[in-house]
Amino acid sequence: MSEALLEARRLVARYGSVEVLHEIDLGVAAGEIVALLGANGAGKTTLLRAISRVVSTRGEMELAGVSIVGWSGARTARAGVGHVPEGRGTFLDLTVAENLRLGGLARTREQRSSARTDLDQVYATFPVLADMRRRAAGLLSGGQQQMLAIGRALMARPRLLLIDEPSLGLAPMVTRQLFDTLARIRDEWATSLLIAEQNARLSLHIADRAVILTGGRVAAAGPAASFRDGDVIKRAYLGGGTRK
Amino acid sequence: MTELLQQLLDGLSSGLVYGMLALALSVVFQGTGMLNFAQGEMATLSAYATLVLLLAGVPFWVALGLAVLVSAAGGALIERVLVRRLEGAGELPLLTMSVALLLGLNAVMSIVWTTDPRTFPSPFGDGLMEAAGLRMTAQQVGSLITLVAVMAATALLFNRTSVGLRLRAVAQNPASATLLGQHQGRWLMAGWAIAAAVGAFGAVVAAPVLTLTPGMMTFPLLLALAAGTLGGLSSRVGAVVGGVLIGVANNLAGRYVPGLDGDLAIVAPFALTAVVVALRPAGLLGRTRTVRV
Amino acid sequence: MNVLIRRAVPLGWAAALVAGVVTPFVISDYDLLDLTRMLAVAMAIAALNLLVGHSGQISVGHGAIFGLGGYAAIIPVATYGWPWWSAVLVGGAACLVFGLVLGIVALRMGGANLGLLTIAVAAVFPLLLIHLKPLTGGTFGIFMARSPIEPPAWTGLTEAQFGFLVCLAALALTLLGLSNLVSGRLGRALAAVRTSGLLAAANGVDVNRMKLMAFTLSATIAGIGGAFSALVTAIAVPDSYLVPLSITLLAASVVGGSRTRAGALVGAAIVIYLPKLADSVVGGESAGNWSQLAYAGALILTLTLAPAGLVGDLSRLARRVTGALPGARDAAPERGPRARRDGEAALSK
Repeated sequence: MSEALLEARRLVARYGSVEVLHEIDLGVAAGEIVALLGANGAGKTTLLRAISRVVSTRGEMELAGVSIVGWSGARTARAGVGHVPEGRGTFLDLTVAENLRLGGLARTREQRSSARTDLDQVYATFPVLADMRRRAAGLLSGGQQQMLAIGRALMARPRLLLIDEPSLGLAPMVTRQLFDTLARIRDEWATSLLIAEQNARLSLHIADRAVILTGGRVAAAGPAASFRDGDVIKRAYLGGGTRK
Repeated sequence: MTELLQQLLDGLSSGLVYGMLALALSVVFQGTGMLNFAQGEMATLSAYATLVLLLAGVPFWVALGLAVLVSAAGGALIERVLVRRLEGAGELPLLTMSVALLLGLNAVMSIVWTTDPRTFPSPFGDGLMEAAGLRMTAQQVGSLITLVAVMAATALLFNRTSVGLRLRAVAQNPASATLLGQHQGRWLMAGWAIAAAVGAFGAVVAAPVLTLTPGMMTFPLLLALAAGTLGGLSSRVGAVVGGVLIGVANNLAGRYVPGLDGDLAIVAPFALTAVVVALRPAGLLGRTRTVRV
Repeated sequence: MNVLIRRAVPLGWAAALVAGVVTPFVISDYDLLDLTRMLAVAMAIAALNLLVGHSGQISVGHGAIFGLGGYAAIIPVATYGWPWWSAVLVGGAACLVFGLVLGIVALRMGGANLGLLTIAVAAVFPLLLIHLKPLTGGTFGIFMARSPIEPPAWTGLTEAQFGFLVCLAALALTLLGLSNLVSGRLGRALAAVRTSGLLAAANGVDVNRMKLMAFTLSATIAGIGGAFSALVTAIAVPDSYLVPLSITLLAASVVGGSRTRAGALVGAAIVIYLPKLADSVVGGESAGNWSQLAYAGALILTLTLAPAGLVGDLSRLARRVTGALPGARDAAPERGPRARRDGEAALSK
């Protein structure tokens, strides 16, 4: 239950000549929910993109013990790393059903037969999507698109699900429901979660562990409970603004 | 009145050829984000390939099938070797590359087959059909059916198959598609392959009428570009609709507008396109293109 | 070493100018005509460089503009006996107006449609020429017994020599003028428009006006080049101004180096002398096709391997070898490889 699913050691990432992540160590165990916190610009998105291999890095990275450093983004996705990007990346002109189906197309041959049941399970996890299955995704509300994006990533049966800023642009109540669902997803879909969020409180509520990034470095890491009192976090954010 | 209907019918006939080329242009545009000025020459090359097979005694539909497959492979090759190298370089180099291809393919065809016009056999025979005072040649009817069939098949491919779903996804949002495990390069090649295949059908159907020369598709390509712009290159249906409208406009202008006879009639479709685009920049059925960051 | 390079460039130009002035007296009149045509074509390519290399727009119709300038110049001379220099002005003016109109239409249609518009112009132009027979002489075109660019008696120059020197002067002025334009404030505005219209607009640059201005100026200069070409050769026929010419000019611009000055000359040399080379090597009808193939190949190679063109990349190479550019042997350590993975965007977060 607690073998390392993802292990990153001394990870460095750059955009052009600008180094954005400086020697990051990060680990996610199987069945774990990890909250990745930090102010805007701390490097959370870059770190997620480094893990899903759409950004080039130096350093080591292993998925279930296999080095994935030279892999392409598509290959990594097929190996079980799901990534719900910031802004959701919905295919706006495709229908809800098509978006979900697309998620399932990356599965391995053995998994493909269970695609139908998984689709039903996605609709069970997010009932509102079932009502909208024929609608163009662009017509959905922000919260619904977020659910769609997560459902789509789940269709690939990921072992590790990366979610970037799920609460972005969502009303507080919708966000709360979403995070409750995320907690359930870990068990119902047997996947680990690494959630990058500016909203510390909600993510800490469901996380097992937390990692705080500041200026491209790990400022603090440990069990989520130890961060819940807020002081450590406030210091780590360096006044960079937690959103209300 | 019958005369007008006849002109409309003839315009529809030629319009479908422009529509096919425009469809090819649209597929490439949606996938790679560029206008392929060489689409016409690629199609003409397919026609020459078919002719070579026919002269070697291969039955028509087999020859066409083979040529379509070879064209698809050629399209994929062009994407992989030439277009991929300019990935991210911007619109201008891609456009220039397609212009270079236009020049190069035209030159190769002129060298290998000379510019002498060649008769291209039609599998539909020489018959003439009449109904309600309107005439259509067997060639026209046959090509109409063939092209409509190809378009229907393409529509089915894009809208009902998982291949089509992947193609549409990669075209719409390549970053998201990657995150879902779709290899972008693979599907770009596939898009070019399909476009080349579609173009091949258009050329083979048009060749008996236009007579086969290396420059056969120069003007049709221009009309197809106008058609795509008019109908909206971001919509496959729009491109085809545009093609038909352009074909009809071209025909009607040539027949009814004094001074615009023969090749000069091409001015009318362009004028029409300019007007439509001034009113609806994305074309009749197009969507405004979101810039991919 | 750096100083030497910087002095070398203007010295090189001065030497070229001197060589140019001397040329008419050492070369036969026959060969001189080809060189003069080359100078006229160089003007058109320089015009294209402004458009493509500096303002980032495309034109697959500059051959037609070249032709428009030619016809607009030769018609007044042949039919009404106008002096050559006024005819050149007419050629330029006609193309100015045409470029302005076309540019405005292109803007209305959305910038991406400029390629389509210009290639349509290139295709329709010869048709119009044939159609407007009373004005243009139809398929046969217009020709005069001798070039109207007559040397004044006191110079003692032959027609060919004088024609060459006039074109040399015109080209020199053009290149100088464009060079000044591009290195000044206007040039920087154009560069902004070229790299990112959005960024330029945010910095107060009127993008549309800049693009229109660049296109109009480019058309005017190409028209003047065309005027000279037609007047010097004393002939204008539709067959000289077909679609391949437009593509050839574009190819020459890119291959020579659309952001360099010498590129225009290199490109023009290719345009004039490549067909001759093909003729002597291959001969016969297919010679034209082989040069066409050579253009296409050169263009593709340039785009994929040497995007700054022959002059651009060779001069960069030369500077690197002489150590004038960083990146040479003793320069700063190499940056890490830039991986363009599937769907990667250049973000900063």
